[in-house]
Amino acid sequence: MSQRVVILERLASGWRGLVVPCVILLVWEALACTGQLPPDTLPAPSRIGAAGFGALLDGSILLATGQTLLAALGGLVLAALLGVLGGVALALSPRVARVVGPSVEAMRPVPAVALMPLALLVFGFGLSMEVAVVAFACVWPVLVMTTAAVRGIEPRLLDVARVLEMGAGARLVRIIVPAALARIGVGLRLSMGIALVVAVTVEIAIDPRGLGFQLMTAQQSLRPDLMYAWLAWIGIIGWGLNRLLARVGTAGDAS
Amino acid sequence: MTRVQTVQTQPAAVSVCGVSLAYGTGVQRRTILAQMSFEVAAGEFLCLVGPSGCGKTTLLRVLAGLARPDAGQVLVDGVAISGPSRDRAIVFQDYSRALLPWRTVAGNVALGLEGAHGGDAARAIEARVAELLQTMSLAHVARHYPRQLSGGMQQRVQIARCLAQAPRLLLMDEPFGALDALTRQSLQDEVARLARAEGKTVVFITHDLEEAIYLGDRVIALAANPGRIEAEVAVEIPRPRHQLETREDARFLALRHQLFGLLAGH
Amino acid sequence: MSVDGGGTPVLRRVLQALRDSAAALAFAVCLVLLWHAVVAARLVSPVFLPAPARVFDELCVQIRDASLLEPLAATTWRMALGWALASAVGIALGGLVGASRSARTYLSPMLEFMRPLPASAIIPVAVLFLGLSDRMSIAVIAFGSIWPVLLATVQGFASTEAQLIELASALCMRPAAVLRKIVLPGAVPDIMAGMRVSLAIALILAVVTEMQASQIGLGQNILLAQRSYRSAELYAGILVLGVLGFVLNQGLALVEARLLRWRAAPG
Repeated sequence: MSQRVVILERLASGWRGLVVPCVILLVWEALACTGQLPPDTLPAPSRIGAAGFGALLDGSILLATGQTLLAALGGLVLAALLGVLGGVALALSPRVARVVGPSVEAMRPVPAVALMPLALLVFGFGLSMEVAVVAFACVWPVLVMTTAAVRGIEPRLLDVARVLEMGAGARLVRIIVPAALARIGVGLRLSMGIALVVAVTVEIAIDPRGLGFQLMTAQQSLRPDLMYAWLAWIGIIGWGLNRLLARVGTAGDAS
Repeated sequence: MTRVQTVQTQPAAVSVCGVSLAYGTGVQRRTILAQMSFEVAAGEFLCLVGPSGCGKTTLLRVLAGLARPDAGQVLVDGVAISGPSRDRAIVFQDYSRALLPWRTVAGNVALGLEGAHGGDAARAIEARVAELLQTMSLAHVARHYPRQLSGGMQQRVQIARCLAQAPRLLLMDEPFGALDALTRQSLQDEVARLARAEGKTVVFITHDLEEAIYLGDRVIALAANPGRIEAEVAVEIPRPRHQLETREDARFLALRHQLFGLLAGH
Repeated sequence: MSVDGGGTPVLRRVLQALRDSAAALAFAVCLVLLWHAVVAARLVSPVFLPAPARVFDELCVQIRDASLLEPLAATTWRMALGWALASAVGIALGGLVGASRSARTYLSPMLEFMRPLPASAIIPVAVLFLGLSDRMSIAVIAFGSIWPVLLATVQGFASTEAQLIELASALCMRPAAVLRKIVLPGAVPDIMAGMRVSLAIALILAVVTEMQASQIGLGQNILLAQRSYRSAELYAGILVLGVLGFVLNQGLALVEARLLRWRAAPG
């Protein structure tokens, strides 16, 4: 019974959250229809919806979304590999941490977008340069969380590994990674949020592909309705990904 | 510290008249306090003792004016209270969440003085804070932050803040419940001494029977579900009391037996 | 710091720290030497990877003829202005939303929707309204970096310790005093965390908007360097941006340590 109450309450509060956006959209629509708003900067929401529907029908939404998500995912996987391996190394050997740590730390404040021209120089336009920039941006949360997680492993667990005379590989796979997995997951979740943002940013600034490029193109070809449609779609993707991550996060914490 | 006595105020007399309070709605409605009535004389040290769930804390919140009873009223010097007042200071049980962690010890004590003096009274506040820190043996940690102090010291800060607001009624909610035995005993003696020296009416809540008898002029035992008065005994042991002698006193032991029987019977 | 351990352990700790720094420095030098060796052996085309000495020379030249100054100042100025705007509006708005339960119910879902939106995605909208101007850059920076500080402020205001609110009412504090003495200081840790994230976003957006709008700045510098294959200039620019990010972050960390010294480990 109490569960039903909770669900009802959530429905009720969710409904309240929709009030303000709906009012804004309605007022916007009304003003646009009566010609109060400049149509070349603020077209009516209905026209934006129509433009979005058109982009959905001609397949450009699907294609661009796929390209962006692929770049984000590729960068994320690369960052996860580098971050976890690097983090474990930094955490397990204080000496490595002392010697290599400062050099790694020195690279961290470089804004990822500053590497876009370099990535462009090395890889040219396309998927790989985007993946490289995304990976650079995403590696830090994974690295930091992995280092913290592995340092936080109960020392007795490592003693167990020593008593069982496990090799370095077995220790990594059977003890270290499972014990640190939850917090590594937190780092990955942070990185995943960054991945989409960076991918879209690279596309807006330089790389002629994906959601960001479509958004830019719509603006430059004087299609504000289409531009707002792309913007809304990017927002929905970001929000959906965020919700998915939150769900994965709570499921992970529960297990 | 004789200077402290310069700010002495007339202690307040309290009467609690038929106070009832319930929380929740429908089936889940639970009566916390049922028709509770008692009196506290001016300058009296009253201890309320009872098991968990007897509504001790709720009763104290009603006295402070932080909770409003469903029925009945609380009179202070014959006037019904309608909300919190600087005349009534409350020492919360959980000292770690009752101090401002971003203020120093001196800053936390000053909180009890701020707003009381209109306009530019910084110097007066400073002087009074210094005085109170002396009284509570906190002068050496005046510039420390709460987090840097032990539980006992934090509770001292809270008591000092309450004294700072110059209350006529001091309400204490299991203030020493989380402290170790030695700290607790020294704070008990200090509170007893201060209450006498500064002339405060004190309502002191505890679940520790011996603490109640040791500190109180009178002890009211509460029963749970719903919270109500079970028994009332006067403690006729002269002051000042001593941790060892008083606790071995025949009157002390007799009261302990009497109250223990009453409370354990439920 | 206490010196209760006597001279020897302190000395040992200092020596250890010195040795660590030396090792870390040596490693960094080795990296640079390796970089030099790779270039010298022509393993990578100098178009992609210039020799470290050339990058260093480029940097020295830019510092000496002060040509670094203008883009550095322009980028920092736009970023700082946008970030300051975002922080001021974010804290004020976040405070309003956070202090009222009904405002949270009605507005939080919309704010949560805005947060994951890539900040750079509003560049075209800003261009549409403001053209390729400085105002466009600052608007994008401010809009993009407002969300972390706004949501952190909402969080900080909403999670005020209930007992402290009770204490405030026991002390008969006025609402303004409760806000100033209890709620706001309690939210400072959250606000600072939000402002730090915002700062990083502000720098990123400053660089991106420069590239878009062809404004004088470090971001445009590196893009132009790349287009004309002046790789030493490109690397020097990246280096300067890294140092800028580092200095800003350290500066904010100092402010934070000062504001939050009450949170430091018990002493």
